[in-house]
Amino acid sequence: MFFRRLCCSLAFGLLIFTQQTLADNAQQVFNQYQDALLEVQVVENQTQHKAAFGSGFYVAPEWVITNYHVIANRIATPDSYQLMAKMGDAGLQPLEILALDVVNDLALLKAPKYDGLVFTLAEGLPAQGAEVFSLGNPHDLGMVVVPGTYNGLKQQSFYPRLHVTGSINPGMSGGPSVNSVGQVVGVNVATGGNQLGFVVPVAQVQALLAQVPATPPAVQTLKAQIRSQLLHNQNIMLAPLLEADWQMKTLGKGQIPESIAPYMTCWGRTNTPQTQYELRTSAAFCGQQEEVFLSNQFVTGKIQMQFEWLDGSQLPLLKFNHHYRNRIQQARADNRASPRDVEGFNCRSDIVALNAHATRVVYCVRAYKEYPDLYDAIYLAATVPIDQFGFISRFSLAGVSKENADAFTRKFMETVVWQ
Amino acid sequence: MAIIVELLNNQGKPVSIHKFTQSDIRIGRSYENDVIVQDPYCCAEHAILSCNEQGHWHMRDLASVNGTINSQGQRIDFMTIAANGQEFMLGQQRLRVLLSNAAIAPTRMIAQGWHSLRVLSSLPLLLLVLLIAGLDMAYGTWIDVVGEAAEKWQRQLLVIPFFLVIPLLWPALLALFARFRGQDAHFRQQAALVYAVVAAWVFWDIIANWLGFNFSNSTLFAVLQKAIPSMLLLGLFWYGFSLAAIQRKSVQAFLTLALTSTYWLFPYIQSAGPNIQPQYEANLLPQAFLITSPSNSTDFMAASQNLYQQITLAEPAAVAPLENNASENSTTEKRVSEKSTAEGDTAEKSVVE
Repeated sequence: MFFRRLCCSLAFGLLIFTQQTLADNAQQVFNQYQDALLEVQVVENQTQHKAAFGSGFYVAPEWVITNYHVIANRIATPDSYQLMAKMGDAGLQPLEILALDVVNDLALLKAPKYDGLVFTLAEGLPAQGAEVFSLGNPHDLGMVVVPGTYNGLKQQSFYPRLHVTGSINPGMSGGPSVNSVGQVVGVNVATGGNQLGFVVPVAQVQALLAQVPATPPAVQTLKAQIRSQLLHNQNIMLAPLLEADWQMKTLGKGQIPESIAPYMTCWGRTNTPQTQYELRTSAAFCGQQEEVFLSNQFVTGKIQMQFEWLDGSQLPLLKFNHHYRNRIQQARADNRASPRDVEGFNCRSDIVALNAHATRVVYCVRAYKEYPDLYDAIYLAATVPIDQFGFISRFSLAGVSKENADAFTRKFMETVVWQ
Repeated sequence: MAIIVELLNNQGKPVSIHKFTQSDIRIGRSYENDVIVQDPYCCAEHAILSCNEQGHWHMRDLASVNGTINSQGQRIDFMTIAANGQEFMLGQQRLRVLLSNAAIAPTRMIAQGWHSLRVLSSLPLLLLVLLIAGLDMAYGTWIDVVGEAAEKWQRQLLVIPFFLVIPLLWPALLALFARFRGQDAHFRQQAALVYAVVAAWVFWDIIANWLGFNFSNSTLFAVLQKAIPSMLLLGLFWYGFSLAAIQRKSVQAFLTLALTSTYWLFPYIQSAGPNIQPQYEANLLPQAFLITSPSNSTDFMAASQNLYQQITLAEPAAVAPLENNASENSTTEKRVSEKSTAEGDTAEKSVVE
């Protein structure tokens, strides 16, 4: 009894102690750097009110880092928005874009000169379990510091992200996450809810700082940069998929790829028919779900694959065929896009022999209006039914080059077939 | 010259016509009269029509209760029949007096097509056509239901008769139109025509389905897919208006084209909005219906090369406001891109070869 009470009080004391040190550190960090933090506002020209806001921080006397998605409006419709920094008593000060990294959701801004202490970048990543502090302006409630725990790199993510257990909330985007000595380990970018925070690693910030132009480039130049970043990114993403020998497994009589890259995660689903007059389906999905944000209406950088095995042996052939066909009527792009971002889809549909089985194959492509040589591609194949069985395979690629789309489609057509 | 007395209904249509050669014609409710009027407001001996030595006819009221009223609404005791077609009101009975030399309307032609549609509008054929349309709907209902709904799918068949009646709206409309113009309605013939077109449409749908499965990229099929429904509609309206005896061919042609154009107009209006989702032929039938040999994946990809639209950005116009001329920019972009697509095609083809 006594022992247990001792234990409890010991543990309690320890808890108070750690809480205390954390609080001390947080206070220290915040006091030291709060003036190097600012609120980045995207101000709408007509109303002179903010349309979006986020956080930003000084890494040099005139350089501020924030997220690309905070300032995306300024790139999408440059004439409607201005970038402003809200800096304490000084009011709103203009900001200009120096460099962008859309793939890692980073932006470097030219800001009014700041003579105080700027943030320094950490040399490497903290150890797992180390404490980190995320700074920013959640929901426009004012600058806060939030203690959290670094939990390694986000698993199965194509885009490198630090996983921080801590309350990162909307509005803190673009703010820094710092280690216990106040060095930046990354830039707050996203939340998964319930203390799941994601942070862009500092290495990506360093890469962005490595090539800064002297004067802010024109929006057209920035768009050209975005284009080359997207082209480069899709090459890196698709190269492993194109090079690898895909490990196949069966879904019904269909051949489907296993997880063909670490960032391609898969899910499965099957329906349990309630009556005998139903189609039995098993479906598998594999994909790189993370997207590259270009604007509120336009995201890219995703890969999705979907496979479906249909067993309609309880149904008459024509009835099976009818419901099988209904499932291939509506192919949709998986990435969000608006007509001002993309052209309409051009499609080709034909009966093609895949592994000697007649198959309805549909291939559709749409071009990006502002980023030449980038396309969204959709592929859909459904085996012509001999008996009441069907196999549907589909994929969608967002933001890929013609060469890669072609190569991926060829490979997919050759490997994902009816046995 | 003989005299004719017509008893008219409220619409002014004759319900009985009497012709007399004698010089005195007695009109009234009693069975003693020459013209017996059933109207209760008419007297037993109401009026008398008589011819004098000069051959002039007169209407004389026989001191009736409700009087004899001329076409101006005045009560008369005695009135000379001055013109053919003079009307009187006896009680509440309308009456018209004519001389046998009165002009009549020219003989009306029986509308064209009546004979040619006789076979089609015969009951067995009409029932057969209805059966085809009904069976098609029943098949559509049956094929669509799976799962729990499949157990009681027959119940849904009960709506089919109601759907089958809907096409009758068109002949009904034409019949109404014909009535207004005092023409024959030809309702049954028009109905036979509509159902024949419905049945033809059903057949074409089945054939188009099969053709679409086999010849997805055939231009001929694409043309047929548009042409055949248009022809059916053109036939329906042209023939329908012929039956409705529209006199002027230009009006008939205009109405036919206007109504047929709705088939084109609706998809055209729909396509006005931006559509960034794909449209493609997704027809699938069991293997047994495949009559063409499938192409191979290499050919498919080679044919897909022209799907990649080449985008060329317009040169940015200095630092001037970008947004203001964004719309202009996009149009110039389009023009440039269209041109460059053609160039791109040849370039891409050479890569493929």
